[in-house]
Amino acid sequence: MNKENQESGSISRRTLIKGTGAMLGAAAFAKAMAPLTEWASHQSMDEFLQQHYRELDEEEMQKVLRRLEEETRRDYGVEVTITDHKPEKGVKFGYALNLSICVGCRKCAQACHRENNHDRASGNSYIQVLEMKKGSLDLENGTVNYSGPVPKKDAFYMPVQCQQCDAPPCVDVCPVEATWKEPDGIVAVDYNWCIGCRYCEAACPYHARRFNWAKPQIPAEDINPAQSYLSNRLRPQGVMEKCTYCLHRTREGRLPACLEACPTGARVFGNVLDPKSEIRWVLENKRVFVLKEELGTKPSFFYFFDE
Amino acid sequence: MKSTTVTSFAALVLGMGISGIGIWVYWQSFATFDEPIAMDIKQADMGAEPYGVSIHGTPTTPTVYTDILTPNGTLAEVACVTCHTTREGRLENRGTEDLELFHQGLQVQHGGLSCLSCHNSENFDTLRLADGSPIPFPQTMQLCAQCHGPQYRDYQHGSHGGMMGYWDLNRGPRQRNSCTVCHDAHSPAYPRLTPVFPPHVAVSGNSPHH
Ligand code: HEC
Ligand code: HEC
Ligand code: HEC
Ligand code: HEC
Repeated sequence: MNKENQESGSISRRTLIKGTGAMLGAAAFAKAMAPLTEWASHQSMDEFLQQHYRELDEEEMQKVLRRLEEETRRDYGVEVTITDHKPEKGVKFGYALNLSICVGCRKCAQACHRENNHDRASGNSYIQVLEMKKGSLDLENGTVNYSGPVPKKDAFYMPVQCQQCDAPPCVDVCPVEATWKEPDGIVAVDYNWCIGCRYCEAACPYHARRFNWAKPQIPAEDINPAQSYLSNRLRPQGVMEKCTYCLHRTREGRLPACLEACPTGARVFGNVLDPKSEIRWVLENKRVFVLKEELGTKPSFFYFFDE
Repeated sequence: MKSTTVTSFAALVLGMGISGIGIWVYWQSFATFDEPIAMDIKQADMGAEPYGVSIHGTPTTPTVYTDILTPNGTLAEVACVTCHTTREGRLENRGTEDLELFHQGLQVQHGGLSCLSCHNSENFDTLRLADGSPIPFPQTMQLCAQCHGPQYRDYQHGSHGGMMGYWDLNRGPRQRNSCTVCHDAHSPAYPRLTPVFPPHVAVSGNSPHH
């Protein structure tokens, strides 16, 4: 990743693309550029000129949101509301999951699929549920292809999604700063700035990032119309996406969709800066652990077992 | 009101000579897992925040259905005390096999407890705590709490039993489930589930786990 780019403040998209190309092999370059060349044909001038999310002022942002709503109306035939939910002062999100309680029913993954307007045919979700052998915590030995009834005797179940790391390797490798850490802990992606090079996907040790291979296809009546710029709005083809702890809900004070969908009550969410919060109680009273701690990613997603 | 959770009416033909009431239908209540939240709402005052936490699915005082139709077409119900005021409580009743005269088919698998460690033989329209004090059915959680302290403590801190609504009570209310929404009081083991949403063949190549 290019230090100069990071520090230059206002970076033009074109020079960056050049810069990226210089660092990649020819094949990788072609692959990385594929989404861009495709965009050229159907991309509006507005879209091409849209500045990076964090450089847009309030008025410009409103224009962008209205344009995106209009495009959704045109392409999908639905009225949606796209808001730009901002992080709140004094809030840092934490999430914990009780592995003694989770039974592996995958309702969280399903709720994510619907809530976040994932392409229906892909069956995509930001959550993967791993069936693990009791006694092992090695992610790579888990399997996602299990069937019921659950839970099985010698297994436990581990849903894995973006861990919203405080030292996120995905952010470090992004050549265009299309993904970054927000003050409330969310690792965000600007879908209109991402060039689809997929470095972040490779860098994530939790396999938490997804690539949009196709423009999402969803029947109009199934589209969740309550959307946010940085989360569940319909993503363009060829960009990366990931769990945002449902920031369109959680920045309004609500619980994430996966938590509400959990029939077993295995998930705990809240503001870790609030000493009275449930999440704080868990962090202070349960023996929590994080995945792949040795990598130093500092997740804000925690797991625990009841004693 | 538990009627939304009634998933089966185990019809029970009774040879018992209770004059004037014919066939009894035994009402079996099951926890529902698809719709954990419904039914009566009780406000629990949690503190200074403008919004509160309500607990859903709290048991109400149960009744037994008869086969007698009321004028508005529903089955007539009778209170538990209807029969139990004329019966001595039987401490030795513990499980399905002990029930011969009535309540046959009730599935009880709960640590070998006597029925009367929870039910109050002085007044069957109430429950009883270990110290003998009666509590109404809507306070069932207190009953569970006395034997399951760790789970109750976790529940009070949000790490058992789940929730819906707002993490931030300054901006909206929160709903929680009564213990009995997920655990049938008589057979409390959480049921095994069939997983939904099987993973697709990895179209995107995102998944390293095949
Ligand atoms: C039709 C009369 C009748 C009604 C109504 C009735 N019961 Fe019973 N109940 C019985 C009989 C008879 C037994 C004894 C069963 C046996 O020993 O075989 C019994 C046994 C019990 C027992 C076991 C302890 C004991 O004292 O034997 C409990 C607990 C109990 N009933 C609770 C209830 C509750 C709660 C209700 C209301 C939902 C209720 N009963 C309604 C007739 C009734
Ligand atoms: C662990 C405490 C506990 C034990 C032990 C227990 N009960 Fe219950 N029982 C309850 C509670 C709580 C309810 C209310 C449940 C609800 O509405 O969800 C109830 C409800 C009932 C009802 C009416 C509703 C229904 O589910 O049918 C009957 C009848 C009954 N019990 C009979 C019995 C009998 C007979 C036994 C012993 C074989 C027994 N109970 C043992 C706690 C207990
Ligand atoms: C009088 C004490 C007592 C009361 C009251 C009581 N329980 Fe239990 N419970 C037990 C015992 C004993 C066991 C069995 C523990 C074991 O086998 O290790 C048990 C087991 C359980 C289990 C585990 C079941 C399993 O098979 O895995 C659950 C869940 C449970 N109880 C829930 C409840 C709920 C909900 C209530 C309130 C309606 C309740 N209990 C009331 C004593 C009690
Ligand atoms: C949202 C559903 C839900 C609610 C509400 C709930 N539980 Fe549980 N409970 C579970 C699940 C799931 C498990 C784990 C089941 C398993 O191991 O398969 C569990 C486990 C338990 C166990 C057994 C623990 C063990 O080590 O075997 C007890 C006891 C228990 N719960 C008591 C309670 C009590 C008391 C309440 C109310 C204060 C309550 N539960 C509310 C879902 C719930």
